Amino acid sequence: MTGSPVVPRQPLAADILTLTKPRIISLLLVTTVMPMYAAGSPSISLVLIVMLGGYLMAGGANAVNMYFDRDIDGVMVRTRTRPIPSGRMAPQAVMAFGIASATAATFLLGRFVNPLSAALALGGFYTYVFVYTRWLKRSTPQNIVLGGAAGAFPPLVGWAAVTNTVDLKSVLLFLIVFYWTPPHFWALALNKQVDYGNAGVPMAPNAWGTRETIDQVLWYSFLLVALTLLPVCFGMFGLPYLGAALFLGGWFIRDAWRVWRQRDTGEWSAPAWKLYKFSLLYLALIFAAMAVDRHV
Amino acid sequence: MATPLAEILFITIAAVIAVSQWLILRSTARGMQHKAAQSADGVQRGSAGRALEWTYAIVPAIALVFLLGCAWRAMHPTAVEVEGVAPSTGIES
Repeated sequence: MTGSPVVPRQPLAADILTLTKPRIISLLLVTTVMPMYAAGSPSISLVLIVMLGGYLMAGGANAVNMYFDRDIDGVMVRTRTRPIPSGRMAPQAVMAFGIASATAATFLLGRFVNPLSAALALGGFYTYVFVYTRWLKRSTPQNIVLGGAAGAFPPLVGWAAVTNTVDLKSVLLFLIVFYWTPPHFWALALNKQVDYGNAGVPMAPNAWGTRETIDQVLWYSFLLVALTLLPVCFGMFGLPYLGAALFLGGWFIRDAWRVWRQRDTGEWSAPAWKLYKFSLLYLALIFAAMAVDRHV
Repeated sequence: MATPLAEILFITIAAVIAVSQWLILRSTARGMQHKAAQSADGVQRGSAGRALEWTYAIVPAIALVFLLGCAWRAMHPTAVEVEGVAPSTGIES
């Protein structure tokens, strides 16, 4: 059954807010702002401008994503109440909003922060819309591995807003988010296999099978935690961060291990949900630890 | 300069990353076999699709090798970099 669901009407403002995927953006903003404090001592006004620009750019990318994915959004239970598939907004209006939002973000960041942060934010927009949504999402089970780069741009933007550079430190923060994405997203995809299968999206659990996906969740978790310790080696962060990274990383691997342990019993659903939820908290806390470390 | 403790940590991290990446590539190969076995036309479109899938898998691994190389260099700056002349990585050690 793929007909439009019955969704109560809501104010246009609420629909526009839905287009931006505010819950996802809240985490992106954490990974934007915390690197700003890890890089230096930004003014409150700079932080607020970067947050507004980051929200508009990510919100615009999410709206354009909804435009391109409107055919499969109507098929998936998780997304069928979105403004386009439920018939509350015209696709062209959503596309126009997305482009306008990204344009405003580019102006805001370029004019009031610096051109580099604007270019990086725009790079994240294009990576999400064209590399992930248009190219990889429907063509390969590795879609969220390389496509995860889109969600890894915010630390580069935050860092560049303060330092006006892209250096090894900011690239390392980029890679931490990049390698966090597979275990995070596959933990969700494990529990959404029917949805993705109906929509014909080749997520790893559907294409590779549950067993290989769970294996990779664990291997990527080890890789991620190792990567989070690397900044300590060359003095980017100190003992407070090291302690937090070890504690949070140990927790992450423990949750991934609990999923892996159930890969042959079929009882992985609940542990996978738990890992998914913890991974959200993990990313926020590990980035918060970076900021705290530089200011204690 | 890097302390012995930092060097031990770096080597441990590099080892964990190398083993994890190898396991990821091995699992990807198995996943591709699983996918081909399930797909009715898997045999016909095999080689080009497999090459592309391998490219997707290997690119992040190459990025990690570069990252580890840059991190090692940041831990062991040359004499010129120690004197503060154009440290290309922007790392203070």
